[in-house]
Amino acid sequence: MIPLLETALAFAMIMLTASLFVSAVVQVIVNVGRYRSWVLTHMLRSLMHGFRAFHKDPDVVDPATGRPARDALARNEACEMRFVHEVLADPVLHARSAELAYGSAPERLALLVEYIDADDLITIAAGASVPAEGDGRELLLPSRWVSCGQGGSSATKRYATLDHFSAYVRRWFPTLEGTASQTFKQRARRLTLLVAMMLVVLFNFDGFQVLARLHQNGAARAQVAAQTDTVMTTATRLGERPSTQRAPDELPDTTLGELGLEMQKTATLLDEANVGIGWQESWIVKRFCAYRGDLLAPAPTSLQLLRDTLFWLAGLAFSCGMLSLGAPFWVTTFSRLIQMRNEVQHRKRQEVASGVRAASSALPLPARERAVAKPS
Amino acid sequence: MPTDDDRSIPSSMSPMTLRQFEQVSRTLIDSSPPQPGEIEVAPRGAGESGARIRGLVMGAAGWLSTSRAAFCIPVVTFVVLFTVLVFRPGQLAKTVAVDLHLPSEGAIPKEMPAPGVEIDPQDIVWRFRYGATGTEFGGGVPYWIYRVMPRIFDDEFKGRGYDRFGFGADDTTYYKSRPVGRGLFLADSTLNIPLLRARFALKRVAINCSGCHRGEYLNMSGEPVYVDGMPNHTADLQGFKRFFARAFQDERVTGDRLIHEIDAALEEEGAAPLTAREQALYRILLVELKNRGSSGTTDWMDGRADNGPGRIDPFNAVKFEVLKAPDDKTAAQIDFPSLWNQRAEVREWHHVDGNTASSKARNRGSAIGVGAVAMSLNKDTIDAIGRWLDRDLPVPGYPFTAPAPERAARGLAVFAEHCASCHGMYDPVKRTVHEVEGSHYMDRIDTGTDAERSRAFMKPAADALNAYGERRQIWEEDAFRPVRKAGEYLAGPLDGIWARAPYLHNGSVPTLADLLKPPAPPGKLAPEKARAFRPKQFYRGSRRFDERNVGWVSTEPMEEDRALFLYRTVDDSGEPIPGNGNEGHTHGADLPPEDREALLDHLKTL
Repeated sequence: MIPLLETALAFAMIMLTASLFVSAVVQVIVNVGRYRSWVLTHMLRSLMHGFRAFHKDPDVVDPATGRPARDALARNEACEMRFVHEVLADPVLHARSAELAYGSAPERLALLVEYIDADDLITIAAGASVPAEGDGRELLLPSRWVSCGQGGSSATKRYATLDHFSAYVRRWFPTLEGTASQTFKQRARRLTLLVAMMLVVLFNFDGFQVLARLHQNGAARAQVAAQTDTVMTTATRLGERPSTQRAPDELPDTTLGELGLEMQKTATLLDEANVGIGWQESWIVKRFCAYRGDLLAPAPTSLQLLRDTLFWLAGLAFSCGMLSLGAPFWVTTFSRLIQMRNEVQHRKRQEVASGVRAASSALPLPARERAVAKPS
Repeated sequence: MPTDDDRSIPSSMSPMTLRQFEQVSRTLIDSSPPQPGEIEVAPRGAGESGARIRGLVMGAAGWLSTSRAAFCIPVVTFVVLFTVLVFRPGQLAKTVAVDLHLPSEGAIPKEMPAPGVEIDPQDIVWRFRYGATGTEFGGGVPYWIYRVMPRIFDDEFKGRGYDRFGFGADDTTYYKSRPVGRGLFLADSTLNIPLLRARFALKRVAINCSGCHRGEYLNMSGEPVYVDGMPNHTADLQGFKRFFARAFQDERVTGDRLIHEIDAALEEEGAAPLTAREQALYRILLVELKNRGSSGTTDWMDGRADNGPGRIDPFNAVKFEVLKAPDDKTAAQIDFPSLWNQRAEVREWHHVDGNTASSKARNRGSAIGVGAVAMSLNKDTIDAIGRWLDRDLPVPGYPFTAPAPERAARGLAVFAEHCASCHGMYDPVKRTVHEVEGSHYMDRIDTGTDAERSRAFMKPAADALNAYGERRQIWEEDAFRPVRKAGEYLAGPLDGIWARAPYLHNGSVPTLADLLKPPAPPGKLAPEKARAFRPKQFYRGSRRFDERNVGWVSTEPMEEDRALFLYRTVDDSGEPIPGNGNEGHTHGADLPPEDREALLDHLKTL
């Protein structure tokens, strides 16, 4: 039981380490590709576009058919993006967003697009709005947000009042935000799978081989287990540990250099685990070399080589699937396995202790006899 | 007002709307200022090309998660690797070698093994003396540049070559001749990229363990003897480092001159001059070396006293050059330590301030200090050497006239009474230390010696070094502990103490006899009066041993044609030189002369 559990633990640790590598790469790409800006930008632009469409703005909706106007998105880009930029340039939001960090965990990634709320947008709109002519109470949204000029009307739009905008934002913001988060999650998941595939292929990450090595070699298991603390430290830094799911403003901000170091560290851990990851020491390479007579080892037959190759391919596919589960999954799995092992060990200790008690209860008798036998 | 039921209008960001949005040009998005916390992929203001690179990189990163075609990348990579596996599997097992096939590399003089010697690269003594530790990648100099520098700076080298820095002749245990001096090695630059070994076939010269820890002395016949693990008290590591930092800034080192000198050196070896491709490469290398020199990385040394031979400021080098910490003005130069008996039973803690118990941190950290970077560290060799130092490296016996047994016995009694509580009772036969009652052995204590070194490794430095190692998986988490109070140093054993001169952690007292004298009072003293005190200045770097006083001869400025280094504890105006102080540790100053001499005799036996 214990060796099996230890193998599972060591395997989870290897997977966690590899997942952290994937997570670091994903974070670099997310950061470099400015996914955060992308999602926010599209969410905000969609909000303004939706607001205009909702009120059947002739620049956006064809009055004759009531359907979206031809090339409406492209023609209205300038003014709608003006709104987006003004929102994103808001100093309060900037200060808040600076506190955010992101990992590959979808719920954490979602935090990125949830740092703007409906009240923020209404406050920004109220600050920019101007009183309508002849009506001191009604406030109109800035025409630069709703009138694109070229190709569209530059006239004041009576529907674009602060009240209507506020009502629209309050009604639709949660839906928009949810959809944006979903989009972000999808992109992150796709990226995680892509990076996991690259890792598996480039580093020849054969999951079955890793499992076999760990199962056969107690020293390798112990060596992997010895790195628990250092891996967990990395998991915390990359924001992948459940215990670190705190309020967004408490999360650390990660730089490209730091992510590079995490990649280097996790790759080093995988290298030093010595469980057959990488091409240079790979068993499949040795088998092919032996088959071709490049090694002194006995050459496998074609059938054996085919079987090995299929087993190896299955191992790669297995690793890919395991890694695509993401680092948070492996953190949780690892923690559960630790808990399970502790329970098993505790029970074993209890069994041993109860056995000792049963044995020790028989001992007092001769001791008493000796005491009785002693001359007073 | 329209109703929410109007399904023909996208009133929220539906997946369809999002897909439509994805067709919109990214120009506006990409031209928006980056959000706080986002990374700039190319510096703003880098002009049109910078903007193009930025756009390209951001576009590619965005494409990875939006296009299904991105999955072709791992598929194509797999197909390529699988093809190589099937048809050329041996290629996958090889170290990735970047070899420019430079003819000049083939002209480098070969290392000639001594007659009857077959070099075993796994031989641990060979690895200690000649093995690559990874310092060549960051701190090495290409061989042909190394070779011609003494020609270009002949006025400084005066025909002595690198012996000028203490990297000169060697014994013939392994080699009859080598292209580089003792303490240096020549190796291809190797990067140990995790899961992928890579080698760059451009040979560089760099320092390894033996550069600082393989000492030399002249025996009774005047012949040089080399001892593994003994401080290399004749090597001027700072001078060597400083020379290469400054030489490339000198107007004598131009591309044309360099190529001319290399061609002359190649001619000496009977090889053809550099090809046009090689010339171009050396010009690029020269620019790299000039940039390295002008980066000011080693400028911090200029604000401190020169170390001279046999000394180093290891932690400040790491702090300022590797960790990029702000200059704290500490002058933390110390004597090179000896390396025998490093195992935990004898030395639970390491370094003069006992800042680590980790063998890994001690060994790998030393390589980092002399130019290795995390990915160039040859962990295999360094760890193997570490195990050898811990277990097997012998302590050198006293090679000169053995002391009379009765005097040594008397000295032992004096030692037990006055010294053993801090230094322990070292048994040279069993190589163990017996702690006496009330022992302070391996404790950090303040005996009033120069506090600069301990001041240099307070909590911020320890934290930074721990973080550096942990983030790069070089040593254990919290491998280093900070100094608690300035002035405290580790009380350790005196094994092989005769070979560890000069004394005190900073090498400020030339001999053991001088160490048993009190420090000199401020101001000038008459020569006959000054003899009763520790010398305020002396010469370092001699290989001749002073048997009477136990230490290197330190009163003469020359050893044959070798100029020695004048070590000073005070400057011209009599002010103490930071880091060079010889005060403190006044134990033994009040011993009767007979006891003092007996103690010296006992110390020779350790």
